[in-house]
Amino acid sequence: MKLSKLLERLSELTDADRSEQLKQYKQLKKTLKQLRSKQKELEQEIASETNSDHCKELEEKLNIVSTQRRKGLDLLKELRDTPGEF
Amino acid sequence: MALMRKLLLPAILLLLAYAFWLSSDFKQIAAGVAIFLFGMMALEDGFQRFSGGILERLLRHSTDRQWKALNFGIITTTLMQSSSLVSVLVISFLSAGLIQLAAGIGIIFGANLGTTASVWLVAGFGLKVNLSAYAMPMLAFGVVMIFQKSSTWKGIGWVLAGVGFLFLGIHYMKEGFDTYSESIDLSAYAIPGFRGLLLYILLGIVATVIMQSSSAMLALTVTALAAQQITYENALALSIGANMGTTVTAILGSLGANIAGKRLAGAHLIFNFITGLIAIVFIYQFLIAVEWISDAMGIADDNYALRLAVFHSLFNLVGIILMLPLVNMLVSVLERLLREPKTAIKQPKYLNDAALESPQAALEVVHKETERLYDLASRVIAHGIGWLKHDMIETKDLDQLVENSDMPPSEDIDEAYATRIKHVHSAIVHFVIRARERITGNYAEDLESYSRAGRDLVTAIKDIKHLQKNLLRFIHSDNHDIKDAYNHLRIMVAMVMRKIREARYIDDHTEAMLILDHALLQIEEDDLNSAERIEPLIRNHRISAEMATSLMTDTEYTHSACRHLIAMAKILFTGRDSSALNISQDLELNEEEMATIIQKDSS
Repeated sequence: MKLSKLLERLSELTDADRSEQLKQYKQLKKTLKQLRSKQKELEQEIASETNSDHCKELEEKLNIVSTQRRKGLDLLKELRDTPGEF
Repeated sequence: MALMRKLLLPAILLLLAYAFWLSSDFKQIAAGVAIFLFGMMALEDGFQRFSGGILERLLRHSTDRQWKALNFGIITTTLMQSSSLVSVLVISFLSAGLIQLAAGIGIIFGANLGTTASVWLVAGFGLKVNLSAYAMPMLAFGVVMIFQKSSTWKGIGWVLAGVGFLFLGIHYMKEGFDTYSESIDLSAYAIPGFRGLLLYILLGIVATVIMQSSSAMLALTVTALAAQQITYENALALSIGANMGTTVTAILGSLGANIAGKRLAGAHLIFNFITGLIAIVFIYQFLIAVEWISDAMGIADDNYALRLAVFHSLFNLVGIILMLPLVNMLVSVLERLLREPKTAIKQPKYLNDAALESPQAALEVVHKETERLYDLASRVIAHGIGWLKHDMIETKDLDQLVENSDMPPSEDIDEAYATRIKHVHSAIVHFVIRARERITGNYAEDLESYSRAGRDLVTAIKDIKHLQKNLLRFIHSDNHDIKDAYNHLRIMVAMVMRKIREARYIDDHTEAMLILDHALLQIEEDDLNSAERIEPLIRNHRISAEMATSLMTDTEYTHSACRHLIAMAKILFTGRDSSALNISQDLELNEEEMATIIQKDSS
C-alpha cells in the first residue's frame, strides 16, 4: 500500500466526521457514474424508440436522471469545497 | 381438503333445508337456536359498548375477589330466577372483555347455588318471577334505543334486544319441543336401585334440554313425586340430571362467543358434571344428610318439594366447596384445552434469536421478514380496493381489470391488519430494537431503514382503509363519473404496485430506482392534475358536492398510500444500503423540480 493511502486510512480512523464525509463523497461519485451511464442508455433508447407512449415514458425518465445528476454534481462540488480536501 | 371445505357450507344448508321440509317442529327448534344465537351476538355487541365505562368498573369491583364473584352469581340468579340467563350473560361479559375467566367461573359457581334459591322460593312460597313475560317489551324498547345516536343508549338497546331475542329463541325451542315434552312420562322408567338412578339422571338431562329450563324440570319432578309416579330417589336423580342438562343453554350460548366465552361454558359443564358425579357417588350419604337437615328445619316428611330443595342446595354447596380452591387450576386446564386459533394470526417466519449474534445475519433476516410483510400487505391492499392480488399485480390489463372485476369478498382491513400484518410488523420492530442494542454503525442504520420501510407499509394500509369506505360504494354507483373517478384511484394504486414488482425483480439497481422515481413522478403529476379533473365534474353538476369532497379526500389518501409504498420499495427493493439510500434521498427531486419535468412533458 502506498504511503499516501496509508496516511488516508490513518486519518479516517482518527477523524470520524471526515471518514463519514469521505464515504459520502465516494458513494456520490459512484451514484453519479451510474446515473451518467443510465442517461446515455436512455438517450440511445429514445433515439431508436418508435412507440410514442413508451418514448414519453423514456423522456420522463431521462428528465429525472438528468435533474438528479445536476443535483448530484452540485452536491459533489459542495463536498469538494468544504474544508478537509479529498 | 380445500374442496371439502368449500362443499361443507352448501351441504349443511341443503341438509337444513331438507330437514325443514320434513319436519315443521325441527324448523321451529332451528329458528329458536338461530334467534337465541342472534340474541347472544346482540348482547356481546351491547356489552362491548360499555367496556371501559361504568358497567366494566361495576363488574370488576363486584367480581375482583372469588367470594365477591360467587355472591354476585348467587344474588343475580336469585333475582332473575334463571341460571341459564345468568350464565349466557356472563359468557357475553367475558366475550366483550369486561371480566376475567376466573371471575366468570366464580359467578357460574354462584349461579348454581342461586338456582337452588329459586327452587326454595318456588317450593316454599310458590313465588315465581316470569322474566320471559318481559321479553317482547324488551325487544321493542331495545330496538327503539338502538336507533338513538348516543352510544350508551345504543348499548342499552342492544343488551335489551339481546335478552329479548334470547327469550324469544328459548320460546321457539320450547314450542318446537312441545310434541316431545308431552310424551315425557316419568313413571314409565321407574326402576329401583343404582341402574334406575343412572337412567333417571339421563332422563333429567334429556328432559331439561328439551324443556330448556331446569326449574320447569324440577316442577315436573315435584308433581310426579307428589302423585307417587316416581320414588323419592328417582326424583333426586332427576334433579341431578336437571343440574347437568342446564349447561346445554350455556354451551349453545358459547357457540356465538369468542374463545373466552367457550372456556367459561366449558367451566360450567365441568363444574356441573363433577357436582353431579359427587352427588351420584355419595347419593346415600346425601340422603342421610337431607333427612337430618330437613328434620332440624322442621320440614314435614311428605313435603318432598322442600326436601328436594334441600338436596339441590346441598350437593351444589358441596360442589362449590370442593371446586372453589381449584378455580385457578381449572382456568389453566381450560386455557390449555381451548386454545386461541393460532393459524389465523400470521407469525414471523425468518426472525430468530440466533441471528442476533451476527450483524449480517440480523440484517438478512430483517430484510427477508420485511419483504414478507410487503407480500402480506400487498394482498390486504389489493383486497382492500376490491381486486385479487394476482390480478392486480400480474395478469390482466388494468382497463380490462376495471371492466371485468372479479370482486373478492370485501376485506375487513382492520381484521386483516390485526391478523396478517400487526404481529409480524411488531416482531420486526422488536427485533430491530434488540439488534440495535448490540450493533452500531452502518448495520444499525440499515436495520433502522427496514424498520422505517415497515412503518411506511403500515401507513399505506391505513390510507387504503380510509379510501376503502367510499371506494367500495362508488365503484358500484350508477353515476359513471364518480365510478370512473374512483376506478382511476384504484388504477393508480395498481400502477404503483406493478412498478414496485418490476423494480423488485430487476437486476439493474439504478434502473430499479429509476422505475420507482418515475412512479413517484406519475403520482405527483396526478396530484397536480386532480383539481382540474374534479372541478369540472362539480361545475357541470355531474357529481354532488358531497361526492366531490369524498373524492378529494380519497385522492389524498390514494396519493399518500402510493408515496409510502414507493418509499418502502426504495428501501427494500433497490439493493441499496443506508449510505447509498442517503445519497438517493439527497438527489430525490423536490416538488418544484417534479413540476418542471411535468410541465416540460406536457408542453
